[in-house]
Amino acid sequence: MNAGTTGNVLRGWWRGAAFWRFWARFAILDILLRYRRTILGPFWLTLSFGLTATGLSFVFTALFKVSAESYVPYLVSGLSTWMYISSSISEGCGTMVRHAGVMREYSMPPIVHALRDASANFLIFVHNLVVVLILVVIFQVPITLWTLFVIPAIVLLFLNTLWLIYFFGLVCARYRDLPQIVTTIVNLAFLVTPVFWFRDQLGNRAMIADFNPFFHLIEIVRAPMLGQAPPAQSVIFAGAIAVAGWLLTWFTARRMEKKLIYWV
Amino acid sequence: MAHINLTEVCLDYPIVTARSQSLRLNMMRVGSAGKLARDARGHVTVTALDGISIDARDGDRIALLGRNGAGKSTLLRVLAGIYPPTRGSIEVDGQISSVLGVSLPVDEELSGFEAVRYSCLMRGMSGARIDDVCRDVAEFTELGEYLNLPVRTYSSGMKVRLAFAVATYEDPDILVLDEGITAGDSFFLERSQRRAEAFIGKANIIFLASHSEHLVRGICNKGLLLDQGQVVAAGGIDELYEIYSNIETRPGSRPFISLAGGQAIDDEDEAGLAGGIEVFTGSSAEDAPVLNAFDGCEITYWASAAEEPVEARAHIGAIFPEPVQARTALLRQRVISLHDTNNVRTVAIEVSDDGYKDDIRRAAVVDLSPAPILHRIPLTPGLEGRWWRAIALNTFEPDLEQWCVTRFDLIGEELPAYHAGHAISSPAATPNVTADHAFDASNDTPWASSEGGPAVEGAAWIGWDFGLTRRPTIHGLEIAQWNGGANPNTVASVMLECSEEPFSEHAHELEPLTLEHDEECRTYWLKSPRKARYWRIRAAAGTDGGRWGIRHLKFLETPKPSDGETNEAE
Repeated sequence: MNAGTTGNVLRGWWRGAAFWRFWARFAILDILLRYRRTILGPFWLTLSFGLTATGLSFVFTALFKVSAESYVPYLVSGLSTWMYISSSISEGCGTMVRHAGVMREYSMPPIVHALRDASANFLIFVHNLVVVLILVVIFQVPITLWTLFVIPAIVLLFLNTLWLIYFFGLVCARYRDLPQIVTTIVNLAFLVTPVFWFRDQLGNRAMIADFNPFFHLIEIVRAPMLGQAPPAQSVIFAGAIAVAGWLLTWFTARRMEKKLIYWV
Repeated sequence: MAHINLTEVCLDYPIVTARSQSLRLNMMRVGSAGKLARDARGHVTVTALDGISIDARDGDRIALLGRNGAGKSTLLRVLAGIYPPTRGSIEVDGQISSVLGVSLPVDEELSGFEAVRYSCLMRGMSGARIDDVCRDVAEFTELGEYLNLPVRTYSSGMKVRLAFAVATYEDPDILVLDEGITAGDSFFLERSQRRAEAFIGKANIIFLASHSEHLVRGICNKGLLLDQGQVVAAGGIDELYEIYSNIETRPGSRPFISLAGGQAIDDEDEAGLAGGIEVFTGSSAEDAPVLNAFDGCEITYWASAAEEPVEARAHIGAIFPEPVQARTALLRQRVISLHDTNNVRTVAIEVSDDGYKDDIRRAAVVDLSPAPILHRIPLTPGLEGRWWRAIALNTFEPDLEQWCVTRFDLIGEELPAYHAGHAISSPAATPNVTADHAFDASNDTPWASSEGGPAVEGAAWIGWDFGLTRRPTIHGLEIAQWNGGANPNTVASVMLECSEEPFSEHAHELEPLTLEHDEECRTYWLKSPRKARYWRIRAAAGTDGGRWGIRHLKFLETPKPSDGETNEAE
């Protein structure tokens, strides 16, 4: 009775996608409002990320005793991707609760709210990519055919963040302890994910990275940004995460979509 | 052609809490009219809607009436597609648009125009249409330059206008409006009525939940009366308001109760049924101080003089020699409880021809939650039978029940009833209120009573509703009190109030009247006459030991005689 049928859920998602005018515009609006009445507007995102990246590069090139040319593009491309994924997860936990007001007054499929937040996070990511682009130019990172792989990689990454946001949005609306747990786990994951450091530095403990889904999600974007071919296993891993994640989300949505409105 | 059909729609609203359910639960018990239950897995649910069936077609402009918590807003949200029903089905043919909240759910930093644009996006509109909406909204709301300013600078009325304009632009087939829109001013009302009239021309459906009778009458042509998530009455607006007023209670104060309504049963000539009642078998009937009632319950009795409370289901009723039509039931309850709340909330009045075996018809379902007072319960007209009874339904936590009914009367006539409470006789027949024709809101201490009767001990009201059509201009009042006890006339200060709405929200305090320390009837003239529908005087809380009452009260509709004659108490 409470679980939606397969068709219902997928139809709801399709109807949600058809609300693209709503979620796309509101994603932009969400970001614009955050920087309303500021001079730089959303470019504060770019600027603050640029400053962070500069500071970190300064410290870590000294710590690791590596050259800026090889380290800084690696750090910044990885860090921007990591921030994209982690903020998607942590904001995803609050998605449905945050948009409860809209939910209670307008009849829209709940995935719309996930799409809105996913798009907003994606836009922030794009702003940070400007920094990556600048560094690519400064440090003359080689542009190869593999560079083009950035585009499908980002699409794949977006699909992954979307299910993460929707999935966590649903379950966290019901179980309010989860956001705390999730945030803790994400913070912990950062420590074991090669962002500041390289996978190869792990030596014989490389499995820490190899079994880390975050590493693969980052790697499929980072490698092409640096003009390299992404490791095949990372591409497969990221694809598998997307498929498994969407199945999980579908399964969750069947059980939860209908009851969501009573939880928020 | 628009059409919406609800079949047996039920909605159980789960209450999700990590802890402290009991606290919330207790609050709900007192406040909400919804029924609490637990679902199969032990989650607490509120039955917000219970078996609602509606068939609305073109031209139906339906008002949803009912107290707070009766299920109006929930039903609107079901209609708008926001709450999926737990059981039952909804078929919609036509496009639905809704205004459920006062606020535009966009950031208030946005300008009016931007807010309109984003609101349109929420309704799934696109580019060119949105420009049309903006023009239309500017014209309809007449907000002018304000539309370029941030919404946060708007008054709530302006925000509502904006939201309403956006929602109604589309010419939706079905429009769902929640009560927030009553915040609009009279200008808005007029404009929205014109818009509403345009809808009628286009043969659409409107659902409106509002506490504003003015708005309801302006827009709707029929209505549903909800109580505890059920449709308790459906029909014309006038009819529904009559019924509504009978079950209406006002938050924060006690419901008004009738004096003479309960007494009338003693007078066999006046009470239509009193003469025909034969006391049914029942263990406690002899002892009960209750006239014309019996106890037919096996488990315990609830019409009792002793302190025995009801513990589960219980019945009380009467059997008549001939089938009768009762139109009003009067039920006086008493609470014997540490919690000081009435835990038997739901009472149904039932009628039958065969001793409740098969043929049971329900005449009313009422909530008796607020206080141990006399409840006046209108019964579904036309029901006839020899067996009549009131049945107290099971409640949520049996161990808390401490409750009994001290009086149950059936009356064959429809007692006139009003929003402010329950007056006793027709205002048309007696335009001036005397103590015999007034109503009383005190608990068990009628203060408009004959001499020697019980007196007021706290705050109390007495007053009059002049009816739907009459708004008298009151120039003054005649008032006479009586004093009892060792400390006479402790309530000497009385406030005169009038209102266009039932007194809960909109009472205007007019003038304090200082009553003289005697029992003579005096006339008080208002400084300036005033026109209103509801009139009452309110006695402030008396000091202890005082026994006091109003012996005579009459509102004067004639101007003060010019000069010389009376000059007292300006």
